[in-house]
Amino acid sequence: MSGSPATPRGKTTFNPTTPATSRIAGAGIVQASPHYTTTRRHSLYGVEDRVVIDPGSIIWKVGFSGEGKPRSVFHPGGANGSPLWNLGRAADPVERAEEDRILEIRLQTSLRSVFHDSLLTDPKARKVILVEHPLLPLYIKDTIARLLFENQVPSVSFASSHLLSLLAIGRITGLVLDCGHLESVALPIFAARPLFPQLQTTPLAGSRLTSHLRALLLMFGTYLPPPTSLSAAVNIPAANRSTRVPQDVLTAKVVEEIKTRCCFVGDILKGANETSGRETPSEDFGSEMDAPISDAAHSESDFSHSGFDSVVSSHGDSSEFSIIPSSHTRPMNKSSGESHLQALATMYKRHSTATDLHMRVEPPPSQQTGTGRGTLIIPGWIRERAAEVLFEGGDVDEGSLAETILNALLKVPVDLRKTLASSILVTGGTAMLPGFIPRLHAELLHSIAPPLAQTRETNRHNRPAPPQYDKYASLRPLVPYFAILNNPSPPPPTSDRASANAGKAPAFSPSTLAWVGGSLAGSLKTGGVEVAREKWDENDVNRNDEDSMDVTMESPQRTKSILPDWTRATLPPGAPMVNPSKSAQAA
Amino acid sequence: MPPIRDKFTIHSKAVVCQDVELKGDITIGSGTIVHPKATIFAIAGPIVIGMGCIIEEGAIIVNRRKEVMRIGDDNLFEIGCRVECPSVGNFNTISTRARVHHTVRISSFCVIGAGCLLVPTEDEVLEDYTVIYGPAAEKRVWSGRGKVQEADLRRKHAEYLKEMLPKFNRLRRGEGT
Amino acid sequence: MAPSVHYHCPCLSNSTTPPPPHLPSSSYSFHPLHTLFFCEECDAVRCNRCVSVEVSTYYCPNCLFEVPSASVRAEKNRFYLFVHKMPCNVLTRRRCARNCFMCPNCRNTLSVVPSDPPESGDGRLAVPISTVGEPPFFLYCNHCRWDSAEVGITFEKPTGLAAQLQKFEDSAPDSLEFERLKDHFEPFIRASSLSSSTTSHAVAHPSSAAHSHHLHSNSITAAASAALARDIPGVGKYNPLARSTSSRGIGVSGRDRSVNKDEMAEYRSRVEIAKASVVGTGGGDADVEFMRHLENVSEVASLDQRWENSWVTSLQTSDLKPLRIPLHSKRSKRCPACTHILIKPEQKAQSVRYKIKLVAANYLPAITVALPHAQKALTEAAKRTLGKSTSAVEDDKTPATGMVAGKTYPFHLALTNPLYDPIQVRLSPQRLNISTAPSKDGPPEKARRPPFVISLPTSTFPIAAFAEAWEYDDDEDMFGVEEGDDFGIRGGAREKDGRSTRSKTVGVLEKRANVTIVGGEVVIGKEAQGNVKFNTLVSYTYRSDDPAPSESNDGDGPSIPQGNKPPEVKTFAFYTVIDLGPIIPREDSKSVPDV
Repeated sequence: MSGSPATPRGKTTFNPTTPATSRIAGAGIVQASPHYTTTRRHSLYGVEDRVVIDPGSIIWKVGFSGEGKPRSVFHPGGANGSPLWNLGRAADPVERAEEDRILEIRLQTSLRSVFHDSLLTDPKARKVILVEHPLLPLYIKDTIARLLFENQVPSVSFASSHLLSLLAIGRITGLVLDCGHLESVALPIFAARPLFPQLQTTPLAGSRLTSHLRALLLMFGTYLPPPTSLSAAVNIPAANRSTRVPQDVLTAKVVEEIKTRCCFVGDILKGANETSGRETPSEDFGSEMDAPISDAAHSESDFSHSGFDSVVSSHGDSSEFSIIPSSHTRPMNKSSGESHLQALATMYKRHSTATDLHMRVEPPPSQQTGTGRGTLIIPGWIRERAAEVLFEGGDVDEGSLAETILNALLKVPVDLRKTLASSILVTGGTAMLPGFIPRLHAELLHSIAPPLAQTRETNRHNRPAPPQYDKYASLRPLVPYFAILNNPSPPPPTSDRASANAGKAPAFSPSTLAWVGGSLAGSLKTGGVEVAREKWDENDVNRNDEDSMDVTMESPQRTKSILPDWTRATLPPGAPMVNPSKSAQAA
Repeated sequence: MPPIRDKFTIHSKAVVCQDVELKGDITIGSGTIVHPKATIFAIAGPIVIGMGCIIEEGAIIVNRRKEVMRIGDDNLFEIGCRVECPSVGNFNTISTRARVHHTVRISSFCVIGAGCLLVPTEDEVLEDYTVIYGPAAEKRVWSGRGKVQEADLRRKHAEYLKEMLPKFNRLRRGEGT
Repeated sequence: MAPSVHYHCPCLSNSTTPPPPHLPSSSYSFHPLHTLFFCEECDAVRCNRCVSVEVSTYYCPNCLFEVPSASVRAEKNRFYLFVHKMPCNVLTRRRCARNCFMCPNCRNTLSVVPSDPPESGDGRLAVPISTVGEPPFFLYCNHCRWDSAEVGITFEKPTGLAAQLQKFEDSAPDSLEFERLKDHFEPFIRASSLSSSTTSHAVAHPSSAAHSHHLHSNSITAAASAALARDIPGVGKYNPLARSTSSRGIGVSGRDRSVNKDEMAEYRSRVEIAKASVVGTGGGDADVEFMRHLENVSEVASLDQRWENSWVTSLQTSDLKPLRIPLHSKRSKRCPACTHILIKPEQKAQSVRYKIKLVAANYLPAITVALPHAQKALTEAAKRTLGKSTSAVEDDKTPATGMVAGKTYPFHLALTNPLYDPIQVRLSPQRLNISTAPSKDGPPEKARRPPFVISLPTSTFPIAAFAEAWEYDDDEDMFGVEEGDDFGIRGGAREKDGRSTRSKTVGVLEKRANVTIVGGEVVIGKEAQGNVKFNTLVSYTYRSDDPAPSESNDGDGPSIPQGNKPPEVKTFAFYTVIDLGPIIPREDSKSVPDV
């Protein structure tokens, strides 16, 4: 029963590329384990195994509890992967009602397909565990719950995704950073208690990466259209055909594919350590340089505007084309955005050795002459450095990922810091980028490093240097203890604790950790606050009776909602949850 | 350009239907089957087709180059494909409605999937066992496992056609035998 | 984008009038006719969204092996025995559990093939006629030539592959690790549920507030109540009493105080990520190196090829494993109001017939829409491409097929009567939709002025009855439905001769067999943007039960029946949305090819 690693399966099953071990006949030993048959039967034929749904804004993972992996993963928004919801919500009530309607319809379609297509199970028969992101907007949660109950689900449990992720690696304490699509959220959890007030968030996540990648490709990518005619026997050299990347080519699907198949995260920028050349995000290139970031000591030398010119000249073929400002995505609206990207490009190019890639893409409609696909050339440095945007903080509201973690640590009670710093867990789809987690570790150390001495600081605008603000000084003693539990390539340990923790998590992929945790919680018969259908129906009837006036406007009157929600939980006066954060700030 | 002179050399054991469009200097080897409505154009240089090939209805084979276009043995050109490669090795399959440009040379045991467009602008050689498939004309390399069985099937296919086609079609004979 | 007609199903809102078509959400209320059902009891259209669904069979789409529906629906103990006896427990994975697999590379069906006989070694391919394959067998994709031997999966015998592979799947590292995790947590959970009563002294404890709060907010915490009995470092006071309860905790080594705050024993992973990633999985340095030197995108597996793996997997396409084919289900659907069955397929997976089939296409006239000017342009374009000049002319093609702001275009609606009786149809475009537009259309000046105006014949017009014979005959033969002409004159009031004068655009244009083509016209405003999309109420009267071919003179009046059997004439009305396609803004019609 112990499943001890000494049994042969421990070796046979891992690394299936060795032909000898993975021959099916060879795996027969596994059947000998009585453990297997029992648990399996249980999970096969019982209905006590619950449906675990991890609903993200662009990817859903669904399956049955007690299983090691989800049965189905899909884009709820259809093949083009448009998000079901995003961070904004229309202010205008009419528009908002419209948004809500669409959301509800799409959610309903998705939930139906979960039961009918993915799991082939009757919703009436199975309880549901909903993996709940702590910042999942309430109206969405409410809608999902309502739709589930309308489908006659017996009960719905809500479980925090961060806590579930921790469970999936066999722990109940840790600092969990979920780097998803819309936002990255760091949440400290101690002894299975999520310390919600200490939660830290930043919008630097998958969707930001997507828009950054798109902007970079529009500026620096090259596109070779398909030949205009098949019968033309002339060979036009590729250099003459190459054009800038048309907008239409970079559909959401193509960008997503580039992100997931071509991108990775390189090492920390080499020059960064000496110059502290950390860029601000694109929005605030010129204006907010003195924002209180850890390393406000900025040096522009690394990517000065003279560098910008050189880029243009070196990019002869692309500079012939005038840049249409409207062609850029949101972060690039300002004219400074472009020069900023140019500056980034010079720097990134210097720090990248990755190969350029050719990708076949559907040509824009004007070029669809039936002569095949066009070719998109993705520069290697974009592949390697597009994700830099996630590691560059700047705005106070948009701290880098490392800063998000550090800020969370700052808020945590002092006694817990060491424990949490040495058990950081990174989850979420964006963390699946190769090299992401090792880089994050390096960034943690980099961000916590003391700001540079004033001597190197030649202030750009001849403004007086801002006073040295050493935000993370109090965390600096923790440096040797930093350890990311699921770091695939942990750096040489600097303390016993770090070596005992870094990279010791089971090798579940970051994106599915929350789901696996949900499955685990389900099989352990625990897992979040359960809301039974009877209770919901009862509540529903009451609500309908009372506010019969506004049946259509449901959301505002939901104060009596029976769904669990940590943001609405009334804390008793002087509750312990409030104090530590105060004491931490005092500390 | 001088007018194309027709010169067909068809092996006595080849099966070439009457209703085939041939132009230019064409040599067809033993055991090769050419279905009716196939088109073989040797516009610039001659075309030499080896043994045991099957060229199905609507297939178009064009040589736009001066040099000899050599097609090896046991190749299958499926319905409606169009091949302009200057050289084709052995045991290749060009699937239905695939189109291969004159810039591509095909080695042996390659498969061009149905509907794939292969129109690179620079010259390219498909190595042995290259497989082109899918709407984006993706490329991968076949391990070659199962090739004997496939070759076996190809031979049987040809044998069957050799028997059946003459029953329902008039055959064409070349000048040489 | 071809112009389209979709039919309204009122299930999404309480009102019977459909949402205005410019709202994005309105598209969810309209459906193509072929997806709709018709409930005879309720006399109403039902869509896939509002029907209730029951599964009658699960089957494998590849081998058509079916799982009896009873097994799926009942899921009672006695049934399991039966499932157990099946050669393959299909329910296990909701995947086909026989020999059906999908290519991980291209999602084609894989076939089982034997290995080639060993090569003779002389380089020349020896092709023995009628080879007998020999083991090991492997899965082979006929499309992209992927084979399972590439990833080291082979089989001793060519049958029961799933069962052979099952063992392999059972021993997957994720399942093993999962079980280990379960074993790790189970004693803890058990202990905590036992101790939940004994820790009641914690009520007196200062941290009890937190305790109850967390019980409320998260019951994983409740399950972990053993942990809750003790205080949190940094929270509240240090309580020796609580400390004593924490002796249940397993960690003992005590120099570093916070080390042992976890009551849990430390979990030791079966396979640690740091070790797993050495061989190039899990996003470690090996993967980064691989990515850095990547030459070809196709070497990296795409997201949907990888995302179901909860275990860290190799990025590389070459490591993908064969996939099982997911089962499909045959579903019967019921009306949500009266619970009558709307559609019920035959049980057998091989059958494509239905026992009950109440599809809307058998009740409502089918409407198709066409833009004559676009069709003309398309046929010309097709001619041009046939005439070899493939290269040019995209530029003027777009304006030719599209609709430019400020112009007037005719359009044709072809209505097909599925009933065995002639019907009288009346179209009434919903005009007020534009006035309700303001919110979405943004700039107010556009909201004030309707972007386009639709004219359609407003009087009723007839469509001849459907007759089976027409399905088999050529269109030409079926022209002379003579009475039709009379109606044409009366119905399309503005025209004297609907069929002959094509120059007239609004009115009944053509009638043949059970199809009537009605012309309409759209006048597009100068400032117009977006799609020409409008709701139309289609009402038709029919004789409810009179199968004999009637002399349909009784259809004169708009909707008031004058026939010999007045009570049997019924009227049914439904909304449609007609989308004629996008308007090309006037100014930039050249520069921006609107797509």
